[in-house]
Amino acid sequence: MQAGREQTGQSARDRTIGRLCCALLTALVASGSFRTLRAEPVRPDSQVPPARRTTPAVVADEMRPPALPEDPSAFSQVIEVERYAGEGKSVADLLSEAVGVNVRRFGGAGGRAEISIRGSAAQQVVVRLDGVRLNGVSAQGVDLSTLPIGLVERIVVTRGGGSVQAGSGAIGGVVDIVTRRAGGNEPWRLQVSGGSFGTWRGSALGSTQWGGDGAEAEAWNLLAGAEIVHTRGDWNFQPIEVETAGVVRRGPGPVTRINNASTRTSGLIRGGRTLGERGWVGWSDSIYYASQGAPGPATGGGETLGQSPTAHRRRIRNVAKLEIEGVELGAGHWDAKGVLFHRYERSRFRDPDPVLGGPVETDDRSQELGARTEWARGFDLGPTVHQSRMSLQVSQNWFDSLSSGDRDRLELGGVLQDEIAVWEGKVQFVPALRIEHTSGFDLEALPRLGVMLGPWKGFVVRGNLERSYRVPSFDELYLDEEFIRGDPNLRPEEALSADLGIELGLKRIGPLESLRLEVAAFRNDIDQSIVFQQRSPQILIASNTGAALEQGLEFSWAFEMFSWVAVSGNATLLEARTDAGRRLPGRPDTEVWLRFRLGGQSEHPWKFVVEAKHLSDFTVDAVGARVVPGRITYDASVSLRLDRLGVFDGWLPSRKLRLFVEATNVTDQSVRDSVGYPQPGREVGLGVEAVW
Amino acid sequence: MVTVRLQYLTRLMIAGFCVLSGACIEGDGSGGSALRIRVSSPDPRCTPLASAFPGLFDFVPGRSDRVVVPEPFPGDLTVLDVSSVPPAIPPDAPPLRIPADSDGDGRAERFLFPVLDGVLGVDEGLALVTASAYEEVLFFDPGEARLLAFEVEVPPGYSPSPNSQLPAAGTAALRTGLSTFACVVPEAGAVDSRGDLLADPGVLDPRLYCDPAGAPSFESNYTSGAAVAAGRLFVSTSNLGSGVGGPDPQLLPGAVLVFDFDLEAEPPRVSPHGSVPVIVTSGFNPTHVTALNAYGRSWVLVTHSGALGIEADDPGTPEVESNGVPLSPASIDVIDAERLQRVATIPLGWAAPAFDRLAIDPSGRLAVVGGVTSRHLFAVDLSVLDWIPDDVVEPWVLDGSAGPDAIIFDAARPFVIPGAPGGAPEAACAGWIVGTAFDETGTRLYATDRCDGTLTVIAMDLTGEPAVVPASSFEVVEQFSVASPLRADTLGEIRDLATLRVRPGRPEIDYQGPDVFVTINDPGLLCAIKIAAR
Repeated sequence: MQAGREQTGQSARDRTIGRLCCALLTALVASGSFRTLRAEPVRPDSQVPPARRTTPAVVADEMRPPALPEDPSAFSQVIEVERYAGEGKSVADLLSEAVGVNVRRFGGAGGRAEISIRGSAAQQVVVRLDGVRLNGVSAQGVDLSTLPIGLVERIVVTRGGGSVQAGSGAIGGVVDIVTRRAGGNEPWRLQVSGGSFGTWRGSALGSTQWGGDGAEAEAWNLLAGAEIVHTRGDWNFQPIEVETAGVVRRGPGPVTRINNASTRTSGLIRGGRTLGERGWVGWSDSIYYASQGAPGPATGGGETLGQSPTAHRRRIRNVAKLEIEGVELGAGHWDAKGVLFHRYERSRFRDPDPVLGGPVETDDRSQELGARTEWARGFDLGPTVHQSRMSLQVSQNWFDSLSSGDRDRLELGGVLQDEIAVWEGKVQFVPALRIEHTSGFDLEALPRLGVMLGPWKGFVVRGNLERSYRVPSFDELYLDEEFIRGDPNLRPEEALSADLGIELGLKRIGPLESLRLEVAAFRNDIDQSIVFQQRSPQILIASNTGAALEQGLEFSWAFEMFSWVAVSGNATLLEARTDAGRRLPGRPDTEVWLRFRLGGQSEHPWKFVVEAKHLSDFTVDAVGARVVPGRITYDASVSLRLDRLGVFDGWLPSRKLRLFVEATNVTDQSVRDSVGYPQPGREVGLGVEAVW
Repeated sequence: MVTVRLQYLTRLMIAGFCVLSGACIEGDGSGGSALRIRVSSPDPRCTPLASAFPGLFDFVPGRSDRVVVPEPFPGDLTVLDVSSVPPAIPPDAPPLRIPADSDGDGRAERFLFPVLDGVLGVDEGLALVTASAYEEVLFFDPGEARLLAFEVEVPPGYSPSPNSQLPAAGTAALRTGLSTFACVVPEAGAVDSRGDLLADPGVLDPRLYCDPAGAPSFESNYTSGAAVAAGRLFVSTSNLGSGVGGPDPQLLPGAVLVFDFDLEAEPPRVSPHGSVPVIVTSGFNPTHVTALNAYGRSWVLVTHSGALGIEADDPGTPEVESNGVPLSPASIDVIDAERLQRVATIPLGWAAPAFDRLAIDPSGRLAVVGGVTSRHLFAVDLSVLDWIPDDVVEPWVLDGSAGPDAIIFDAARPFVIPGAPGGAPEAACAGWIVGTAFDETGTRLYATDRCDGTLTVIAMDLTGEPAVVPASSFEVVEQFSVASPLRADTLGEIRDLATLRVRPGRPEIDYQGPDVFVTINDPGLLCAIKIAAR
């Protein structure tokens, strides 16, 4: 019996290995050569719109991605993490390079990072992990440093109002984090890197699959991965200078960031199996735990500028999901999907000896349990081709906090959307409507209309008009601390978003193998923005404020020559003003990112990348009296594929072995996105990545 | 081939070693120009300050064109020339950042911010600065914008409190700051602001007793104000208990610390008073002390704001209630600065007076203070101090119940400053008269309201020097907006009006230009306003 099981296991392994070899061979043959470089895709640096939804084929060797924003007219960008292999980037780094996106950092590795899209606040961007919303009901803004890059496969950024797809909160846009999936031709992966300020990162990922022989057979797959990041975080920084009335006030010399060590651990496990020919069931669980010092702002007096030597924060998050999907079901040939999800978060903060006042201890717990069902079907109606979709979601949130009390919230939402294609798809209309109800608030109707024109190959015009909104968080509604208080009577934030743009994608023009250009104009009219502000001399109170306007232009470009030279970049021009004409704080008017790459994207033996980022000045207070100057920073990396050098043949323990050196802030600029939170100067790291 | 591999590996190992051991390539942000935050003022009358929420500023005696502004975060003392509009930082007195070792005792202070609350100009070369987090009074030379070293002498037999940073008893040392930690020993049967006996279990942790005799006692805290009278330095401490900032804070009995203060010595000398180092006051939360030389004597007036809570929100109303709530009565203690004796108390009722020093008219007859929970003014007639005998044993209560009545306006009969049309919502900000000051002639009183951002001009007519000041002597003659009201829709506008001072001297005669100066909390500004010529 034992021998039989071993034999069966051996047979399964053999089949798996055989399929892997076939898949690898197929991929290599398809790419043209075993050893020549695989050309970068037509849209370098991941500037591709999300794929138009197609009926998913039920395949055994790969988990399907969770549903992405299914609005083909939206301005979206897909960031394939693999393209940045050997560059030592974090999720926040990758997002900060996306057009229309600004990432505000509150420290170095492990420090909080928040996203703004098209001038939005962090809580006006919905971030989803494998389709499950990470924005909590308490503070809502998602800390990007909690997302483990080693377990992420791709990131999709959808700019502009997205409440129809993502519900409350998507005023600025939606970010979908898609974790790695089982299967493929690289089932085992290990990466270790280390560098400045005692920062170490290690990640390991393995997956396997079995079954699936023959059309009728069941296929299973399983993936497990983990990432650990640790940093001492004790970097030195330059105190800010303050210029008032023509006089410059300087602080002391370099100051050390104290109490800034952090250890973050992430885990991912997922599995799935086919259900006959047309069905599939999968489950996943993603866990995150962090324990880190919390030095707080460095704007005080004394030798450490007021940093806290004793504050500490611990945080845990778990996202679990079970989904079942079928294609072409019943007589109507419906594609259907059901998802059950659960998110749990706990955040504890403790400072036994704070700068002011007595000991502080907080313990917030939140969880969300929800279910979603989606139905989609394509059909023809006269001269038009339709892809219709409807979905229903229900979720219940619970929040348990010392400062906001025990709260819960029920959310119900339904979406109807149609993609109407005429003239052979050269014109598409995407009308959609979401009806959403959040307990304690009025029913919201969120209409959207998208238009996409593609009269010629490689040329697309897109436009969207959408209403979006954000329900106040529990902190904004109920927080009751010594000097800060919520307002239970807050109204939701409202926004009307519009954008219009063109995209040009061409192949093989003279020396250029590919060229892509995109220009978009956007406008967000926001009302009832919620801000904690002083309305009482004693305390800050969450308040609905007046109207604000965020409008601007986005440019992005990419071209590639000779398969090994690529230049890409983007620029965002933003005007973010209140109705009284004052600049909204924290929003640079101009953001430009440039990337120059020599060498192939992933299969070339070496890759050299230089990036430059420019941010114009920005204000840091509501009045606009304090202005942080603009800056230019440079990052660089070099990576070597040892398996491609030809000198280590037979020596290497893995199929792919990449060695890389990366440096950020090469010119060692003094950088801050927030006055109180310095960022590290130049950092250098060395890493190795092995793939089997 | 092996050689090539070894070369590669050697290079890679060297590179790796460089990277991983490489403090030499780790940056500290010094590669480019320093990050410089530029602060500007949206109002041409105002000078931007580095810090929001500037403290109580003051003029430099003898230099009516100079003020010293304490900036709490991170802790700067800024001298400004107010003869120009907007005020300017004089090139010979750049802002001083308070060092970590603020008192010069060789040890960095325990707290990370000094929290510079207020300045008292003593003479042209000395301003006293209260730092409530460091629990110190700093000695500042406004002429050269530097801290001054005083000889701090501690008398033999002085019993220091646990956190005192004074030199050891019987010794002296040069210090740039004076520690205001002291042991406060209330009389037997004393209660806290909640009415609980200090000696009762759970009210005051016996482990915190500092009295060598073991009596219920505590260490002073929250240095709130300073005054110089009769050659002595008086420092008030609020003595916060537990739950401060919440709805029901505990305040311990107030105290005034007494120091001998010899400015003629070289270096100047300061010393805890040998026999009366601490005067326990009659009320809770002494928020300032004001010196008065009148009626042939030197007095120190101690303002008790009382325990203050924050109003709980009523979920049944659309506004968020958040006004301050007086939880204990307010009063003004009168201390004879020569005899170091509390000689009188002027009860004000549940008034919650403001935290600045009292505004006293040039004749020394009227003392006025605003309310922090209302748009009220409270005023007392100081001429009754003349009635107090030198040999008083029990402090008089100057409310007319058994003697003279000093009260002109108290909580029961306040002078009401009108709210501005379209001002702050009553539920959240029903008024906070943060600053009061008399003009040079004593016929005009100015008052600033944090909530509405208004400056109110009140005319006073004391013609004939009436024996009793009638309430009708006060009349609002003008009110105008200096800052925006604290309303949800004014976010981004300059607002949260704060300290008010009137420039010494006669406008248009002794000086030209603005005569009234105010600070604004959001953003930090010092603004010059010309009222006299209006």
